[in-house]
Amino acid sequence: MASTKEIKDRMRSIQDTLKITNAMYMISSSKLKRAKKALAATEPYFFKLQSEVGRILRHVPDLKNIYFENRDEKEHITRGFIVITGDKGMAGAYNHNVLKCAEEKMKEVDNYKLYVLGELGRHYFEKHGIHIEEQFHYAVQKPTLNRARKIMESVIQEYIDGNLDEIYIVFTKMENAVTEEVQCEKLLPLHKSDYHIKVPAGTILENFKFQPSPEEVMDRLVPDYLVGFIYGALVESFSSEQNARMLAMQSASDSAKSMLADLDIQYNRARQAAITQEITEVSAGAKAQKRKKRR
Amino acid sequence: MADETFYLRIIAATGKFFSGKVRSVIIPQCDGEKEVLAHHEDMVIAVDDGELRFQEAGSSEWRRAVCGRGFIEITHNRATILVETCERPEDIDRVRAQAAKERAEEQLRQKQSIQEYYHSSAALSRAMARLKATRR
Repeated sequence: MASTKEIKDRMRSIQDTLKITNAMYMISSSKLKRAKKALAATEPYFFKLQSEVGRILRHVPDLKNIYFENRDEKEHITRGFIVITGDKGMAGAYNHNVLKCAEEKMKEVDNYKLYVLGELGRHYFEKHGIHIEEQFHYAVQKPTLNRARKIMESVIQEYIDGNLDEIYIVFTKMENAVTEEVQCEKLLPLHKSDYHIKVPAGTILENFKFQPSPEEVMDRLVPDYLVGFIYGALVESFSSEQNARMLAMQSASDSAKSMLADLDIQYNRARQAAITQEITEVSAGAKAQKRKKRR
Repeated sequence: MADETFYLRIIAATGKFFSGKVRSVIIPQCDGEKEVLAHHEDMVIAVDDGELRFQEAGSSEWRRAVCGRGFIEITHNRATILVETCERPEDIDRVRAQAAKERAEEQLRQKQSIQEYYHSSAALSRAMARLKATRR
């Protein structure tokens, strides 16, 4: 059995770790509160934008627009991936899941370009010798529209120049308080078939008029749509990260507490054993002295 | 006819801005302004940075707001405005808008790529719209 001092040292180190995990739990729970507020504020815009774009796509005749181009006939298409990871670890499987999903998707095509958000993703890809096209700093810690706009501008420019044929975004969506899911969504090009909206047979579709012209409206709508989508994805990812960290820290604190309880018992046993041994030794010594005197 | 109203929703990326019955809404467009009244034709119109005005049902007062880029969609006498940002003039920080304007102007003076040029000119027009709305 370990000595009482060893156990005491071990307990102290666990207690120190517990303090850290507890503090991190508290920090991420307060950050989560903030993130949830932002999420609740963004969600109407995010969903409405998606449904609206789907609806408009359903109504417009086939447009000749760069955002609707199908480049499947090209032999080697290049896919752009926007990968949203966290800046820090200690968030359970959050980062791992995102990276796993991104790697799977990357295997599907020969050519790809990576746009990485978050320090952890950057480290991971650099360590594995995978080239990162562009990285965006600070965006994951505090999602703002401005950052989303910058990300959109750099990917859309590549798309217009023909360096990218398809753009995907990999992010984590918060399903509810305990489950989160990594999603890979296609941003560009837009296809009617991507919006699975069921139209009952016989409904008369409204005919929209576009002003100034359908092309003009689409030219403005699509970048805005992307900004909205990226911003929404950033906010979703941020809340998922905080949520994942909160859960991870809670389970770490729980297991630290149960370890401490176990060690406490061990410590008491060891102490008791030491006392018993001491008493035995003293009484054995006393007995020996008594025997000596009697002689 | 003048009292007829329709349902309007203004949703910005940072939250819902307004929803309710209105008599009229005037939106900034790339070549001027456009007023939407009740029973408007089904339409999708691109909205530019600028000042948005609407008159709530039963009131003759114009409510003003500064909006970012986006679009308005009108179907079946219901209108939805989806814009990046939407703020009341009194919520706008003039100092910040002024700083943003100066920053954008400085950037525009420098040689930059097409992408950067678009970025700074968009930033400039946003700042100008904010400043214009708060000047009164």
